[in-house]
Amino acid sequence: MTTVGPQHAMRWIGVSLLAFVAAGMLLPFAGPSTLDWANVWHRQDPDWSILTNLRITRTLLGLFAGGALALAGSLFQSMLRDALATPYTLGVSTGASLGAVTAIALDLHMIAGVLGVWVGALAGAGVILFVVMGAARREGQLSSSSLLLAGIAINSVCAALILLLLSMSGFSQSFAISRWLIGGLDAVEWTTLAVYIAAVVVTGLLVIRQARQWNLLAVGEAWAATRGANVKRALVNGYVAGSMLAAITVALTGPIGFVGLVVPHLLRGRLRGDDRLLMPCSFLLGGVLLASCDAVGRTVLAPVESPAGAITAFIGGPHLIWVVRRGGQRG
Amino acid sequence: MTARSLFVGGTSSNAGKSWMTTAICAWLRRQGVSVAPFKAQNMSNNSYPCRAGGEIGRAQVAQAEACGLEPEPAMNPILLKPCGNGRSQIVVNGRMWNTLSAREYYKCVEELRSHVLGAYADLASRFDVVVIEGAGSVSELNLRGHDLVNLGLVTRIRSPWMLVADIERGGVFASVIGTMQLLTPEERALCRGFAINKFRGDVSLFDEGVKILEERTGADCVGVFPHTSTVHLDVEDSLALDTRARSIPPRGARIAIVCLPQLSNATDFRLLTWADWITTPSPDHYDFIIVPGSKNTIADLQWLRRVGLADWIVSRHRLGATIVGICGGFQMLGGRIDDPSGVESTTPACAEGLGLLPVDTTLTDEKQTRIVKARLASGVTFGAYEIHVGETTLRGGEAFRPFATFEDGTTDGMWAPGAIGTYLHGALESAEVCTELFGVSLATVAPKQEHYDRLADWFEQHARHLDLLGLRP
Repeated sequence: MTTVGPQHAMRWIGVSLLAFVAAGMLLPFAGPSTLDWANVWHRQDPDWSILTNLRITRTLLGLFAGGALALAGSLFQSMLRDALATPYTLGVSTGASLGAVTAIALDLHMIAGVLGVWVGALAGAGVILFVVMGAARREGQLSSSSLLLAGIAINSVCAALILLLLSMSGFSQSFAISRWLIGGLDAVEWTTLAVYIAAVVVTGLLVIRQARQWNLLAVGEAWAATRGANVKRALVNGYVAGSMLAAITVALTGPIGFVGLVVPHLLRGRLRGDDRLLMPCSFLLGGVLLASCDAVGRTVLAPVESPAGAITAFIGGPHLIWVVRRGGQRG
Repeated sequence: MTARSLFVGGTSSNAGKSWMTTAICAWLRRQGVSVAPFKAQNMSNNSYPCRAGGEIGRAQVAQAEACGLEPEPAMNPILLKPCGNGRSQIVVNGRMWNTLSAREYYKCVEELRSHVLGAYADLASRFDVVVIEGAGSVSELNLRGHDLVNLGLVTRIRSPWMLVADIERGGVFASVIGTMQLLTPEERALCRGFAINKFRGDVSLFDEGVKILEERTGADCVGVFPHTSTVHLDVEDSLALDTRARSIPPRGARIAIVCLPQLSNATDFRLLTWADWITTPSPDHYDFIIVPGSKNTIADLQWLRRVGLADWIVSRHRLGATIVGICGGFQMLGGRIDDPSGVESTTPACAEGLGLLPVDTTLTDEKQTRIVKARLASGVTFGAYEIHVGETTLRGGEAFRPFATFEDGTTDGMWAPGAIGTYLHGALESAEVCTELFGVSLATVAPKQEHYDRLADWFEQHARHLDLLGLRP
C-alpha cells in the first residue's frame, strides 16, 4: 500500500479539523428564521433560546452522528474489503430500526423509564449483532466474506419485517413509523447529547487506534495474519465497535443513509486508503457533511424541512453512480 | 328589580376582582343566599358555551359554579374576544354580534348599555343578591363617558360597591387613596369600603397600614386577604397566567404548555398547576407538551415557527415527548390548515402544520359550539365543550384510535403514538382524564367543589365589617 507523507497527512487532518470546528461555529446560524445578532449577544429570547436550545444541539448532533456513520462506513469497507459496505450493510442498523419500529407498533412509549424507541433500537441492534455473528461463524471461524453474506441476509429479513409491521399497523401507528423511518436530526437535550458524544468519541478513538489492523485486513485476511494480526478478534472487535457507532446513532436520528458510503469514498482516492488518515478524516468530514446537509434541509424549503437523510442521498446517489462508472476503486 | 347587589371594583387589572367576586359568591351560597354573578363586559378569549346556548367569559362560569348555578349569557352580556390588529369579536348576550375596532365600539356604547342593563334587570328579578364584577381599574377617567362595566354601571343601578387593591404589586397606599380621591361624590357615597388582596406573610403586620388607609380615605377596610396557593380557580384570561399558583411536577408527567400569543381557553389547564408555560425553546425535559387553543390558528402557527417552538416541539416529539393539541392546537399538530374564505384574517391563507398527526383542516365561516359528554377508550367519561371554526379531516385510513367517543358513537380527535389531538375543551378539566392522559394520581388534580369551599372559608376568615356590605341573609 502506498501511503501519504506525514506532512500531507497532518495537513489533511488539520484542514478536516478546521472544517469540523468551523461547521460547529457557523451552521447554528443557518435556519428557517434569521437570528438577530444583537439579541443573541444580549442573550435575549427568542433568538438566544433558538440558538442554544435548538440550533447548537442539532448541529452538534449532526457533526457527531455524521462522524460516527462515516467512521463506521470506512471501518466496514476496510474490514469487509467491499467498496460498497455501509454501516447498514451488516444488518445492525436495520436491526436497530426494526427494534424502534416494533416499539412504536406495540405502543411501547416508555420502557423502564427510558424512551421505548431507544430501548427498541439498542435491543434490536444487540440481537442482530449476535444473530449475524452466529450465522457467519463456520466451524468456530469468522471471515469477512461470511460476515458480509450473513449481514446482507439478515438485513433483508429485518427490512422485510419492518415492511410487515408497517402494513399490519393501524393508521396512526403506521404514520408514526413512517415519520421515524425518514430519519433526521433533532435538537436533543444537552444531557442526552453529552452521553451520545462521549460514547461516539470513546468508541471512535478505539476504532481509530486500531487503524493499522484495518489496513492489514483491507489487503486480505491471510496477509494480515502473516503480519501478526489476530484476524478473528479484529473482525469481532471491528464488527462490535462499528455496530455500536451505527446503533446509538440510529437510535437518536433514525436511519440516515449515504453518509457512511459517500464520505470514505470521497476521501479514499485522495488518501490512498490508509485508514490511519482515512478514519479520522472520514469522521471529521462526515460530521461536516451531515451537519451541512441538515442546515440546507432546514433552510431551503422552510418552513417544511427536508430530512438530512434525503439531502445526503441526493449527494450520495449521483456519487454512487460515479463510483460504479469508474468500476470501483477497490474490492 | 328586587335584588340587593354588591359591585367589586379594582384599583388595577389583576387585582383579584374575579377571585374576590367568586369568594363572595361561594360564601353567600354557603349561607343559603340565592346569589348570581354578573360582569357587564369581559375582554377575554376564555369563553364557555352555556348549555342553553350562547357563550360567556370563563370567570363568570366559575362564579356561577360557586353559586351552584348553570352559567347563562345574562351573567356576562358583553364579551370582547380580541382577534388581533386592535379588533375584537363582540359577543352580546352570548351571541356573536360584530367585529369592531375600539373606536367603532365606543360609537355603539349606548346600544350596548341597554343590553347590559337589560341583562342585569333580568338577574336582579330572579335572585336575592347579584355580585357584580368590574373590569380593570375603576378610575380610568378618560373612559368614563363610555363606561358600561365599572362605576358608570354602579351609579346607574345605585349599587353599593367595594374596592379591591393588590398589595403584592406594591403601591397599595397610592392606589387606594388615589382611587378614592378620584371618585365623584355620588360614587363615593355608594362605596362601602376597600379590601387589601394578595397579602403575603403575617396579616397583623399590616394593622398600621389599615389604620392609615382608613384615616386618609374615610372608608372602612373590608379585610386584608392573604395570598393563598391552596385554591385553584379559573384564570380569567391569559394576562393572569404568569402569576398563577405553581406546584411541583410529578415524575413522568412534566408538562410544558405553549403560551400562544392569541391563546384561548387557558382554563383548560386549570388542574395542571405544575405545568410550565413557555414562549421559547426550553432546555428542560418535558414528558408532555401541550399546544392550546388559539383565536387565530394560522397567525399563532407562524409565531410558533418564528420563535423556534415549532422545531423544538417536533424534536421533542421525536425524542419521546407526547404532544397534546387542543382545538387550534390540534389543527396545528396536523398537516395543512386552509383558510379559503379568510375566516381568521380577512384574506385567504393557508399554512403547513407540524405534521405530527395525519389530518388536515379547512377553516369555515360556521362556528361549531356545543356541550358534549364523551368517553375515553378506557371508559372514563367526562363533560366537555367544543368552540371552533373549521373541519379537520383524516388523510385516509379507518383504523385509528380516536381521542374520545361521544354518546351517539361518533368520535373526536386522534390518539396516536406520541401525539394526541382533540377539539374538546374542558377534557383536561376532568381529573380522571388527566390521570389517564398524564399518568398522575387523582390527588394531584383536586376536584372543584372543594376549592369553592376553601375559597368561602378564606373570605369568611379574613373579612371584617361584613355588615357594611349589606349582604347577610
